[in-house]
Amino acid sequence: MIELTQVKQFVLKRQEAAGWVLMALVLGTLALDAFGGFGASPRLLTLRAVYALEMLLVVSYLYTLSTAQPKTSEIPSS
Amino acid sequence: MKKWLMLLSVFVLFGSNSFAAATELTSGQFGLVYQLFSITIATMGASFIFFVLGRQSLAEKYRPAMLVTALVVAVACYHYVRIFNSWNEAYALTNGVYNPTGVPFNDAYRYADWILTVPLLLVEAVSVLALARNISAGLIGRLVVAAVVMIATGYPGEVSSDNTTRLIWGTISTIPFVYILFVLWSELSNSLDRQPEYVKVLVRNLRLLLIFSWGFYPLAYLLPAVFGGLSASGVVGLQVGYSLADIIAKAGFGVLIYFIALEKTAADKALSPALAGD
Repeated sequence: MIELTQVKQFVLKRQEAAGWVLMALVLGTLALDAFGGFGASPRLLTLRAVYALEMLLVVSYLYTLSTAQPKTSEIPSS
Repeated sequence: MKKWLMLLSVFVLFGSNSFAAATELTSGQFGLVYQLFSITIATMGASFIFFVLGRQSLAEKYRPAMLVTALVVAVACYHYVRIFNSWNEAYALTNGVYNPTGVPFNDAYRYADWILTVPLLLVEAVSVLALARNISAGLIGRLVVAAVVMIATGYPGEVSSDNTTRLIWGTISTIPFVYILFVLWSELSNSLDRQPEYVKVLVRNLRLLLIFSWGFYPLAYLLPAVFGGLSASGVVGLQVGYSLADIIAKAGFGVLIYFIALEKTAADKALSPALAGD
């Protein structure tokens, strides 16, 4: 069983690669939508649900990176 | 996790509303929206190429944020193509005016786009500023929740042809909207002291751009109410306002984020060449 911390460590080690995977996932969704994969419903319900999940994934990705990276550019205020 | 699932359900439920009604347009009105959609598609496409190529000049730690910026404009570009096609299908030129064809203009793509891109824009701003960890963690959570609530509550009013419904949902949606602007403005202001000198100027500009671009959305939202419902002027004003706001808030905001990351890369290299990456 893969633990969340292991996933986090994996993403931190391969930051850019993980970013490209997420980009491919979202662009893949767009391609699927372009070819009618989510149906022709004007309400776009399935697409919205998929987008919401992908948004959570990308936000989690940025959250992981921004709460883990060293803050070398921060200058003390004093 | 429960909070996220609840918000997701709320959003999907709100998505079950209908979409914008069409009305007769003059040639100039139709053409204005047509041209603006074209410009927006071109801007988003060009921005995508710029952000993908531009990230190579940034330190490694800023590249993921730039990749997400590229993703945001790519997603927007695709949705504008869909909106553009829907706009063309919704109207036909007869006797010098554009009449509705009966095919509804599907504005739902705009809201589908925002649910994916707006939270990402907010998070990437926080991410590239490289704030202290505890500040980043709290800020990201609060901004994303507020962004989802703002978009989900704005949509029922957006698709309603009734002005009262529009104003009620618009007012509800304004609460998280104001909260986001307040939190970002104050956190960006607080971060100024910790930024290198050149970055301070850019962060100040980012604050102003944020107010300017985000200020467009409620104004555009209110236009149909001002013009008496989804009249020709209301529909055109809405599309023009949203397209301009999207250009500034996505491509413009991304460019500023890029320059902040570029300056911080230079500052990081000056402080510690080893940590700044290649």
